[in-house]
Amino acid sequence: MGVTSIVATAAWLMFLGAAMVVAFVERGGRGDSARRIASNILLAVALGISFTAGLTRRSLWPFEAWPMFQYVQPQVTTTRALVAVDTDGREYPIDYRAWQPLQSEELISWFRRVFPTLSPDAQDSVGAFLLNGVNTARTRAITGASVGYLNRFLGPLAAPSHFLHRRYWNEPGAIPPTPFVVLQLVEDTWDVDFGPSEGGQRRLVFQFPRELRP
Amino acid sequence: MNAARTWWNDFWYAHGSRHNLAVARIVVASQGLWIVLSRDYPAISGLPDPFWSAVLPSWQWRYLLFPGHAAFESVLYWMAIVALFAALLGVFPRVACAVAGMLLYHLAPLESIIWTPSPGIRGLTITVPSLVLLSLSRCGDSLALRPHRRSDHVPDLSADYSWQLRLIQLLVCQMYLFSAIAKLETSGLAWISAENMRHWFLYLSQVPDTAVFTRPGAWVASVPALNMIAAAGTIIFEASFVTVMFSRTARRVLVPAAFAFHLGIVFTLNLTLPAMPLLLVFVNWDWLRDRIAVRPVSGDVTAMTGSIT
Repeated sequence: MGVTSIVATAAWLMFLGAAMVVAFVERGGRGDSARRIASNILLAVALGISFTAGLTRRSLWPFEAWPMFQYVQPQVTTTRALVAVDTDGREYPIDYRAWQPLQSEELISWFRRVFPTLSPDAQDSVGAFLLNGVNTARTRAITGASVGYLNRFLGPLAAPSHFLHRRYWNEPGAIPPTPFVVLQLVEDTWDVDFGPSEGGQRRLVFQFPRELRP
Repeated sequence: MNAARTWWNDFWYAHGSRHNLAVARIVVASQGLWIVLSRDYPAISGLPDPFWSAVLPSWQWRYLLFPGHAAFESVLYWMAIVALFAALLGVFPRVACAVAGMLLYHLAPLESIIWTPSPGIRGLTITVPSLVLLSLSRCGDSLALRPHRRSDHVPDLSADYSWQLRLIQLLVCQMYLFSAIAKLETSGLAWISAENMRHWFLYLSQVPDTAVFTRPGAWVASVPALNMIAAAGTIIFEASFVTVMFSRTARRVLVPAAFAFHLGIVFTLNLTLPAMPLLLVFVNWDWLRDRIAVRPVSGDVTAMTGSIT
């Protein structure tokens, strides 16, 4: 990963360097042929970098390999989700806006890839931070305020993330009246022909607090 | 050799349009603003340390992103917004595009950096190099409030208005082309099967947190012929989209098809493509303006609409 980043940085600097040559040649009032040579160099650099990224399938961002849904989707699949439990022991799905500024898919991916590498103390501090954030968002939802804030400028026209998300806490009765006391990361394994609620199996991956269960 | 050179020159330098380039500036800046105003990048910088634990030093130096600098990132965030507005309105547009491009290169990775250094599909991937390319063009010669113009420089259609927009268009095409290649390289012909698409439709219309639309995907999944058409059609569409660079007919068919493709994906797979507005860089606004036949009533209006004589 580190090597790819170094290559990507070098590629970006090459692109910028070629762009600066184009700008300097233009500003210097050089002739048409000099300008054509400079722009041809930039075109060659941009084509070289972008096709290298695409054909080797290694992201050299902002020159991307665009690996979108390239896998075959299996019949039996596994999904992860964060759920919260209130003082009455009832489990609730969490509105994706409660995680802002993070997008929920980024958070779930982070939980999959990074969270297991953290020390138990660091995991608990993350659990406390997220549980506090979810309760703050719950309070805002109860008072009728916006659950998240990324729509602060554009309202309903704000750009969505790549995945659409259900606005759980827009639905009447979906907001728990009592605070959440437990945050859980769960993993559901289910058959796409039956859905997650029919015959799916759930595994608890992480819980905060670890010992407490209402 | 001469034939190749002629082809190269025709491909990159024979499509100059002051008006199309200016509209591309507006499209790219608007799309960038849409994303930036819908995110809070500085707050990611301020997340607790454990969230940054997997961010490698090479990632940090690559984007000059370091944790715990939310206030500084806020300054850069607002500078990016001002630069994008300036680019959109055409206030010193070349400088504005350059500044916005560099700032977005720095800010955009914050969205995903806690687990990956590549914010690929999150909306600003094509926008960043496009802004840099626009800064190398005379993108403010039309539809601009305050163009930055050198009086001693006579515009050249091929050097000032053509290759920059062509390269931006190619970057958009690569999104589809490389996506098709990735599917075929990773999964082979197994990807082009009704069963695979049926599973995708069923999966993405049932994931509890993201299944906003459940019925369209389930209905498509229930019709085997539609699954096969969707699988083959996706690969054919993605692989052939690049033909819009060579064929006017392909452009007239595939660009509207791309909009329909993405709208269909929203309702059946619950996925959006924040870069979708960039498809507007393929529209020939000169042609459209002629069709609408807005007749200028004064010289000033002629200047603003950017007709080339």
